Amino acid sequence: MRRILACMILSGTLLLTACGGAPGQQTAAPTTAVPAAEADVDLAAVKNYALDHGRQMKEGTVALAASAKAYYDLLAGHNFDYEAAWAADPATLTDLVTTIKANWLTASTHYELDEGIIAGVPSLAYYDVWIDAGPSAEEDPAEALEWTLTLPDGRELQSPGNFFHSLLEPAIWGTHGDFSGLPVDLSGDGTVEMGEVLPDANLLLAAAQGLDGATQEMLTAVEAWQPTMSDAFTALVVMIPTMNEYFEQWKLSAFVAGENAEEHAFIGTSRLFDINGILNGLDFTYDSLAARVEATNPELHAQIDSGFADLRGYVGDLYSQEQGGTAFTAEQADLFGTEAQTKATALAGRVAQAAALLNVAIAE
Amino acid sequence: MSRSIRTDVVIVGLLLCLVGLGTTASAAPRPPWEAAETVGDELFAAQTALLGDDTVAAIAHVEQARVAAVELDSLPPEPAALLDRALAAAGTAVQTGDGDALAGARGLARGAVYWGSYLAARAVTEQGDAETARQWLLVRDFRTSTRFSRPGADATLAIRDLTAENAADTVARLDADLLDTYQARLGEYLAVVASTSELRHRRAESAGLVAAYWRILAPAYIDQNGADIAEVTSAADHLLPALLAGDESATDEAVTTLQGVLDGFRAAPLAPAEQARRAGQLLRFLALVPIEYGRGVQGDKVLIDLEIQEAVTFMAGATAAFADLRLSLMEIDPALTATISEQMARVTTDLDAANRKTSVVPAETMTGAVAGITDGLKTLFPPEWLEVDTDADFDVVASVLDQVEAAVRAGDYKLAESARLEGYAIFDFGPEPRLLAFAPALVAEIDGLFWQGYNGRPGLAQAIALKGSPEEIAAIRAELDTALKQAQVTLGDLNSAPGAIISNAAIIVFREGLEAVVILAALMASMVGAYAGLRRPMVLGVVLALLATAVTWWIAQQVLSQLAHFGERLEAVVSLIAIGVLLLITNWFFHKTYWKDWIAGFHAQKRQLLSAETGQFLGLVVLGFTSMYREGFETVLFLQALALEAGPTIVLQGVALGAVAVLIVGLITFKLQARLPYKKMLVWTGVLIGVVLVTMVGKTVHVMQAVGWLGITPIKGLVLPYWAGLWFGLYATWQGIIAQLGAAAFVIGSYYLAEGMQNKRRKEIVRRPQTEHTTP
Repeated sequence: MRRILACMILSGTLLLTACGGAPGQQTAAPTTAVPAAEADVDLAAVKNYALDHGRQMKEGTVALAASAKAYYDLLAGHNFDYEAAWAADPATLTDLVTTIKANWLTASTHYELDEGIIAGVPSLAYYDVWIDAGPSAEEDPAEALEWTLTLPDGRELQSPGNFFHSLLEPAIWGTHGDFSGLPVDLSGDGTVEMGEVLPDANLLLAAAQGLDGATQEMLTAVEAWQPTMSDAFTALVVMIPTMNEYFEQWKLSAFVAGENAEEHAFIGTSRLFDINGILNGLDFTYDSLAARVEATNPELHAQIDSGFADLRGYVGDLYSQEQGGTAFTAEQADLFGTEAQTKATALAGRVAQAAALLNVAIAE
Repeated sequence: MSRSIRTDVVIVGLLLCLVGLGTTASAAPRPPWEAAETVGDELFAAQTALLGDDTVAAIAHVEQARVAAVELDSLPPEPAALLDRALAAAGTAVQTGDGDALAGARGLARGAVYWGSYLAARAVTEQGDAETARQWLLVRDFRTSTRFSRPGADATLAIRDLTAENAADTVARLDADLLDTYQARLGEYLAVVASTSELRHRRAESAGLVAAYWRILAPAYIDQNGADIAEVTSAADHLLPALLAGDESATDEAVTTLQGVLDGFRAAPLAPAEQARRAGQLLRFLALVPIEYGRGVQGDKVLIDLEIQEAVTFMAGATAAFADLRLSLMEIDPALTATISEQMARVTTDLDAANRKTSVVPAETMTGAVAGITDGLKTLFPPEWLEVDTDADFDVVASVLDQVEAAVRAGDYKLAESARLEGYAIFDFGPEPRLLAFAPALVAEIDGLFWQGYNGRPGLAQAIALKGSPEEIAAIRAELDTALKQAQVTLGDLNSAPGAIISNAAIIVFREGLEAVVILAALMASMVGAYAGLRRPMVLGVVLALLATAVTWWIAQQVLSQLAHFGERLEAVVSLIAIGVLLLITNWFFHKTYWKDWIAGFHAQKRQLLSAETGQFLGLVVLGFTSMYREGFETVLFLQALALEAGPTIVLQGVALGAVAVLIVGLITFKLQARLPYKKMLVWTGVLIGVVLVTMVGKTVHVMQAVGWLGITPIKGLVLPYWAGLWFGLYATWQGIIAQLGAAAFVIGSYYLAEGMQNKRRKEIVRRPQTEHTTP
């Protein structure tokens, strides 16, 4: 009996102590749980919203890639001699460029409606940098995303920035010399105006197909995303306060600066439209949290709700005026930008208060 | 202004006054935040109208602002007077069509409202009136959200928890949040005023805000410095007129006066715990800078951009922490603080240059520069700032995990893995030892999430090795964040009662002691009879290990932070020596056993060369030493956390308790072991040594992977539970499993080899007489 007992003790002790185990494993740990505030908030609507616009964006990128391919094939038929191609078939090229612009706008519009969520949710933010917001290495070597765009003719662009505003928009509207094939009179009014250009077919095709692929990846990521309250609050606090930057881009874009625009992007569509889209997505996101915030602090909810309405109304009003033909001066753009930033800083601050009251962590 | 416009203005003014009076008489009072926003919005509308040359509309909007301001009649007198002054200035500005003056008046009005709301919130908080305080707190400015900071919410949380009993504490929390916010914003607005590249309306509005925000901070300045603030207040008030008059020289002078004041005081001083936390962050971030930089450059060339960007990020974190501590450091030694500030600026410039590839300083230069800063800081820091601060560890782990995600997004998985290992190392030698003593289950979860997964959830090491997508990595990161947050909360809430510390120390010693007992029992089991003498060198090794453990304790007490950097590497080296010796002994064990059993008649081995015996003696000493010291070293590391918590005296009581328990179990084990039949004991001993060896190999491979000495190749599809690693050193990597299989093959092979040799020898023995017989 003793022998068996000895063997059992030795074996048992080995099992208990096999090298390097964690000491104190049996200690009753006085852990303090982090309260979960997720259970009764349905964030599925936010995900559905993001998916809905993501899918509509994908329809735009598919069409953009197809029209870019048709354009590329036509130019390839002329051995990429843009002057010869324009001389031989100006009508088809005009139609193609017009279609390409329309498809770009469709894709961009739906992305902007999603941007507040994609850029604000830490696990999805990568796609915003790649698709819409990241600078090129030429613009900002420290912040540029490292990736390579390979063109059909074998050229490689290292860290070329984002698809929408670093590559496609400058190519389609001719604001970046290296990306355009030939300035032409697309409107047929006898003058070649800003935005009238035959894009570099190689760059256009590579970027359009790249954008389509990136959009698919983004959609897959959104489908896999399990939104949390932390995601939602982080998106709000991260994305709301960037109004100054957006208005600065607006001020420098062709919509305000005209022919003297320093900004290569935001010529296809006004930055104000983008800002509106972003705020739309963020407002939608807040709606899914509103009930919880209201239950915790009704005045704070009223203030946030009013802040969203105010900021959206403010930007929407400016956009309507711009669409109605008002040409804003740089000074006005600066004043509006300062005011928008003031409103945004206050709104983001209030959202941060709500997150703290609900004990929801905002990612840093 | 033309006569017709003047007439319009008078009519509009009268109408608005009537409307305003009617509104205030009939409508229910609005909450302060609504009235405050109306004041701001109407003044902005006046600015817009004036910019569009619509003076009449501008005047009307200013009147609307005045009407709304009436609703803020419960503002304290001084801010209310400042608001009146601002609105009067706005009225004058629209009359004269001066947009810049209107912007300045609007800034002053906004600031006056915030000043008033702060004072009002403070006053009702002192009275314990949470409801009214909450109303006023809705009228406030916020810090701008940046990469390193989010808007503070301490005041909001403090007011939520306000009771009559904690009113004083709540006021302190309110002050800390709001004064910090207004000082930060004052600095930003002052920078705008100073910048001649900004548009004038923006500078004017900022100047108005500066005049009001200074008044919010002034009482704190008087409290801390006992100084006369008339000159500073005068500078704040003269800023806007000087700017509007186009007098840049007077503007500069006022900015310089205010900047000098802001540089020299902090309205909401950091609490001592926060200072220690910032100091910890500063040293940790600094330590990471040369590591990243060294990986990113070779000579004067940048090899890996991302490494340089990481170094830049860590330096930015260090700079932010230094900025928070600068005032306190200046009180200790202003000259040295200034020197360190310059050194940090130089390093930042060098990093920026490398990032832009304009010039690259060699890695050694960077290491030397950072070492100089670190040495200076350690000289400056009060001793309590140099103590281990786990909050700072968590901050830095979070920052390093950001780098993991950034590297994955950039498709650089090698870099992501290196950042992951850094993050794990900081956790492993920072919070983990304390956490192990108090919440081991959390350690299991965090370890799992850092490595191969936990409870079916994937781990970071595995996901990086399999080149997981950015979303997969982000999802694991989110889980890690949650677990780390829980760990931080747990450590923050620790009950440091002496009883708890003693019992935890005792458990650690008992746990590690048992490991040593098992190994020693297994190894010494065969040392009986003629071999009993072999126990002596092993016991000597054990005694030496106990002495070495005591020395390690002493060293750890002196230089814990330095030891922590090498801890895992030291553990890996000791474990490797232990494995090497154990392999030799295992081989020897099998061969010796068979020699003893079957060739007992041959005594030739008794005449072994002296050198061989010496080698055997030393081998056994080393085996005894390494077997015991492994456990002793681990115990020392684990106990340091408790020693920091409660002091060595209390911890040593726990050590004594645990040691007595180990001694009792050890005596029982050896006693029972001695009573087992010899052959059975040999079999058990062999099995035990084999299992111990295989487990030790698995653990050692894991430690070597943790310090980056071995690669990590996960076994796809294999998810092992946490206990498999904990108890048997089984981790789902090819390196670990192959090494363990190798160790097992060695043990089994050694057994069969010994048996085979023995069989051959026996046959030779049986055959030899015949051969001898037939030999002529």
